[in-house]
Amino acid sequence: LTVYDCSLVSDGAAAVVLAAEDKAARFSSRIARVRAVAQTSDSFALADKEDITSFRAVENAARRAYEAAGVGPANVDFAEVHDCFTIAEILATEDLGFVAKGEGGPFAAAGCSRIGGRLPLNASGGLKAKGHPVGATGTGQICDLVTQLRGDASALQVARHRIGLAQNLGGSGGTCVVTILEAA
Amino acid sequence: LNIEPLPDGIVYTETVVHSAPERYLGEAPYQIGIVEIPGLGRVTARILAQLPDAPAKIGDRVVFTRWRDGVPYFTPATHNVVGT
Repeated sequence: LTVYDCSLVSDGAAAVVLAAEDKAARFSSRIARVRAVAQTSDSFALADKEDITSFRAVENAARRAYEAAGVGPANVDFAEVHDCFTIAEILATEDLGFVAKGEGGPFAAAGCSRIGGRLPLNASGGLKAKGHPVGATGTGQICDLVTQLRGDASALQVARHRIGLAQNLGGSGGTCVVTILEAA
Repeated sequence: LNIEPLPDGIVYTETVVHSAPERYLGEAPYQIGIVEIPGLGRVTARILAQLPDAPAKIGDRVVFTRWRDGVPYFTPATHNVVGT
């Protein structure tokens, strides 16, 4: 990894307002629905992982989130993934089931993950272009999903925006949270 | 605390650190890697290769050299032991 492969550790803050479904309309007419949140863990040290080209925590969180939401990777319209490094987006593309193992790199190179591509990933710029305020990054991804679900992303708006997925990683893949939101 | 020597291993993956944390600034560039020890598993290790000319490569055999701060140090089997 060289300097341009690495996200920018930056300052930042993010917040979301959560409400029970029957109360949400009181606060906003433009809500997003939480379809699933799944958190998993795995060995922290890379040396303890079965495979260093895949994060088991991500695979497990994705599987649980898809099951809970009753959707599959093919139903996801766009996603924000934890591209702390260039390779991390490629691994995420594969571990989230968007493409087969080994296809994450070609998927990005072919432009499939661009805005206007088959599956826009990190329309916000992601960690690498938007910045990575570590403690705020995960919640920031949720804000980015909601902005897209509402159609408020202006120049960064993706065409299909009914179901969005966020994948947040911690500690060299030691923890992962996958969230699936749906436009209300 | 690890004080027992480790058996020899095989380089599973490696990289050279050029931008080191403060504590190791004076040592950069240096090589680190994951070393597979048959029958025991894998360890994250420092690899004492001749840099920049002869970094250890994936698949190379490495010999345990010492423990330092809880980190095992290995030397490529084809080299003389560096800095024991």
